[in-house]
Amino acid sequence: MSETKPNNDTEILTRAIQGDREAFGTLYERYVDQIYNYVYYRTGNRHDAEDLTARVFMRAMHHIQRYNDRGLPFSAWLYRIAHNLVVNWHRDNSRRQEISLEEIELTHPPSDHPESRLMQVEEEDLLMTVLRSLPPDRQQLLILKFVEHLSNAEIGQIMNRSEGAVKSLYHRTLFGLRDHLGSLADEIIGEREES
Amino acid sequence: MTLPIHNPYDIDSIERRLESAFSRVKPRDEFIGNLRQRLVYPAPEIMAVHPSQMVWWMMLAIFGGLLLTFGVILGFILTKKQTKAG
Repeated sequence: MSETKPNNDTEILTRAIQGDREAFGTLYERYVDQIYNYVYYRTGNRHDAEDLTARVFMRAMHHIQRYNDRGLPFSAWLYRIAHNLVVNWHRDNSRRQEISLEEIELTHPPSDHPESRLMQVEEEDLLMTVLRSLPPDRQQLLILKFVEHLSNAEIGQIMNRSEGAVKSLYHRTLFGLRDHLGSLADEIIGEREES
Repeated sequence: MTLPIHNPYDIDSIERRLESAFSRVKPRDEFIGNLRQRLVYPAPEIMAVHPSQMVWWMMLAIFGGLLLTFGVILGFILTKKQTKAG
């Protein structure tokens, strides 16, 4: 895995399982960015991303003695906890939040051309809206691929699927996005022609 | 709304758009530090007894108090009786 260090993890993980909180702190520092990014793109705002990231690590710490090393990276376990909490969060809130323009501005450097920047923000906003309408497993796949830059094999370990199944899901997701964005573009053109 | 720059029907352009839309987000340093503190050095529990056990402890305390009062009164009566008999 690109950002995991399996050999170091094993030793630290063993200490964390034995109740060494400093060792757990090391694991936390190693994975907090990844989990935060994952949760951020699944929830769409920083406040909930912080709250859920905290819950992921709290839950991981309370259940680490039950952690069963099946040869998967430790991050796969954390991602599964995060995925379950995000699914519960969506169920409890029964709403999909969108990233506000202000939030997007924070994630990108300011541009010299405000007009082109605005177009880019609108495009990304549209894309994010479509992404949040996708089933949870497809959202998870895209985040792991484009935020964490993981390979299909690594994503498969996290999502408990074969590499081939991940590849197939990825292509179906891209085609789904293409159709969805296409119909949205048609709608926009139709609205413009009417007005 | 501005029309998308790339052709939405093109798979390659969708991949490019995904690449540009998903940039890494940095969590606040304060958040990272506070959470680490909570995980590694948790605050001691202020209330040793769980709220659900509180009722039982209160009932036990009341019962104990009543028993003590009853014992004191009984002891007082018996002492008086003994003094009278003596």
